[in-house]
Amino acid sequence: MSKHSLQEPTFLILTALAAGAQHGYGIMTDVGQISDGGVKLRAGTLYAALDRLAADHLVEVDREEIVDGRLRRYYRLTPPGVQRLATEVERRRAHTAVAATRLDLLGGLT
Amino acid sequence: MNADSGLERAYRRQLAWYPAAHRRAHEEEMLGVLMTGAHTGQRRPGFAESADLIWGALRIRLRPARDGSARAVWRDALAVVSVVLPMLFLVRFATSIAALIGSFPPDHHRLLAAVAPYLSRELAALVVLVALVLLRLRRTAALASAALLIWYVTAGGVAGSPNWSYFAPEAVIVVAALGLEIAALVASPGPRRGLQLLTWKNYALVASAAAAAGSAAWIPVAAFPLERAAVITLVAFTLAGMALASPLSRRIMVLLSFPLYYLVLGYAVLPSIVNSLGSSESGWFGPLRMTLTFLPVIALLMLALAAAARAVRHAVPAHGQDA
Repeated sequence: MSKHSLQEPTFLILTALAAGAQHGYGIMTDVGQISDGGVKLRAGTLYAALDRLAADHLVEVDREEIVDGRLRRYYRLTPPGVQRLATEVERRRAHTAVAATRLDLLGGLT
Repeated sequence: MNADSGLERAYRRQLAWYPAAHRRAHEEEMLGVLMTGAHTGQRRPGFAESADLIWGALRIRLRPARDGSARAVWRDALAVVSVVLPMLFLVRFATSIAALIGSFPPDHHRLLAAVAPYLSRELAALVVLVALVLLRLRRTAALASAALLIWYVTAGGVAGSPNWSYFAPEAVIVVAALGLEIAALVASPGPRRGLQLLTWKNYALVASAAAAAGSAAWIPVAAFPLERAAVITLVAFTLAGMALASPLSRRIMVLLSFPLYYLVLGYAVLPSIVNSLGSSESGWFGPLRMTLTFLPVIALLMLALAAAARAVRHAVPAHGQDA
C-alpha cells in the first residue's frame, strides 16, 4: 500500500464514494458539498483520478445505467480503497492532532 | 436542441485528446457528465473546463505503465526500434544523398563519381539490413549489424572517414545507431513482434522524421540558425507526438533519442559552435566535443550498472524483508 499522502481531489473522491456507489456527476457534486464549495472538481480531473484509482484497484465499476439516452457508470470503493482511505484519514488525524497541540502551546485555539 | 448538439460536438472534439482505449471505455460516460453539468443554453465548453479536459488527457497519456507490464512494454519498444531504426537510417541516408547530389554544381560528375563508391556501399549495407529485418531474421540481422559496426569502425566509416579528424558526426551517429540496433535485436522478440505492432501511421511518422533529418544534414552550416533549427524542431515535434501516444511510444522515443542526440550534436550543436568560433582549433573545443560525445555513453553505462545492482538486490532479498 502506498505511503504517499493522497492529493486533495483524490481524497475527496474516495470520501464521496465512502457513502456508496456514485456516478461521475454525482461524485463531482458530492465533492463540492464535502469541501463546502472549496473544491470544484471538473470532468478532466475526475476521470484522470478515476483512471489511476481503478488501475491501483482502489475503485471499481459498480453498475451501469442509461439515463435520458446517456451512459451512467457508477463507481464504488474496493476493500483496498477503503483501507487506503482509512490510512489517509489516520495520517491526517495524526497531523491535525500535532498541529492542535502546538497551537495550544502557542496560546490556544481561537 | 441545436445548442446541445453543437456543445456535444465541441466536447467530443476535446475528448479526442484522450487515448483511444480510454475513449472507447469512457467517452460516452464523460460526455454524459459534461452535458449534465452544462448550463442551459450553453453553446461552447468554458475555458477552464477545456483546459481541465486537455490536462486530464495529458495526465492519462503520460501515466507510466503499471509495474507488471513495464518490462513487456520495454521489450515491445525494443522490438519496434529493431525494425524502425534501419528504415529510419535508410530513408535518412537516401534523402541526404538526394540533397547532396542536388547541392552539387552542374557538370560536377567527377565529384559525384568520387563519392559514389562510399555512398553506394553504405546504401547497400542499409538495404541488406532492412531486408533482413523485414524477413524477420532476428539473429542474422543482429550478426549483420555487428559485422557492419566492426567494418564501419575499423575500415569503412569511422577510420576511413575524411571527417574523422574533424568531428565526424555521421560516423558517431552510425556507431550509436548500430549499437542500439544490436541491443534491440538481442534483447527483444525482434522484428517479428515489431512488425506486428507497427501501423501505417507509424511508418509515415518514421519516414517524415527521417526525411527531415536527412535533409537537415545538408543544409549549409552557415544557414543553421533558421533552417536547420526548423528541421530539427520538426523532428523533435514528431517525436513528442509519438511520446504522447502511449507508454510504448514513449519508450520508443527514449530509445531513439540516443542516435537522435548524436544527430543534433553532430549536425547542429557542434557546427554552430565551430561557426561561432570561426575554427575548430580553439583550445576548449576538443575537450567539449569529447565530453558531449561520451556523455550519453557514460550515462548509459551508469544506468546499466544501476539496473544490474537492482537485479542482484531483487534476486537475493534481504532476510526478513516483507515486500
